[in-house]
Amino acid sequence: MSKLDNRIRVYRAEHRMSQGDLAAAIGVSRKTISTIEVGKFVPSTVIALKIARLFQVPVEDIFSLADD
Amino acid sequence: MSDEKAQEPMAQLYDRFLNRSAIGMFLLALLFAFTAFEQSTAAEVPSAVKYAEKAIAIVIIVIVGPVTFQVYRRKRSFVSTCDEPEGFLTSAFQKAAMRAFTGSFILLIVLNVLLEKGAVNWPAAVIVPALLAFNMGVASLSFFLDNLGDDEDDFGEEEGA
Repeated sequence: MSKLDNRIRVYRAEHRMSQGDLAAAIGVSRKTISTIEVGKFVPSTVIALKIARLFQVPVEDIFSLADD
Repeated sequence: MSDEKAQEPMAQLYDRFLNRSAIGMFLLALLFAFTAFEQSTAAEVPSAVKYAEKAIAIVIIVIVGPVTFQVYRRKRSFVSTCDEPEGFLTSAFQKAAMRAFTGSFILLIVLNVLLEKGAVNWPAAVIVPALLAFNMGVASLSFFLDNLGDDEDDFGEEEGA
């Protein structure tokens, strides 16, 4: 099974956002953000798109398959 | 009504609800285990066990009741934004339920074979609460195990910067 890499932590640092800030901004819990970041939880398309929209980048900039 | 509670994001509230529900399920598993034990033994059950059962029942209501009411009230009072975001805990809860169902199903098949062969001779009054205890125990423990691990907000201190 392909692993989903993400750069949420990088974008959060750039925007100086905590996990709680990001979670509140897109309407999920902080636990959801923390588990996505460490690769424990694969987010739905809706959540991925909301994160990308918040950071104003294409979703591929944040999420990518590990074997890409 | 507390402003802090009113401002708690719906997703956080729902996570709290799922956590409390899992704790409630674990305690309910204990209650059913007590019941199965009571039904399986011919001896008089110590009064301490009966008091423990009542105490657990009260704890379940205290732990799960208020947060359930809060979720119900929030969902009724305004359009929640938490309908689609399937969070991590929702997913963990669903996986736990699936594992509990699978485990209970296998256990039922094994029990059925054993009963048919006469290997065990337990009445339904023992088997039913024991199965319920197993089901809820597996679901709650599976949920707790999935939630183990690092859970800190690294930039939490920098909020508002």
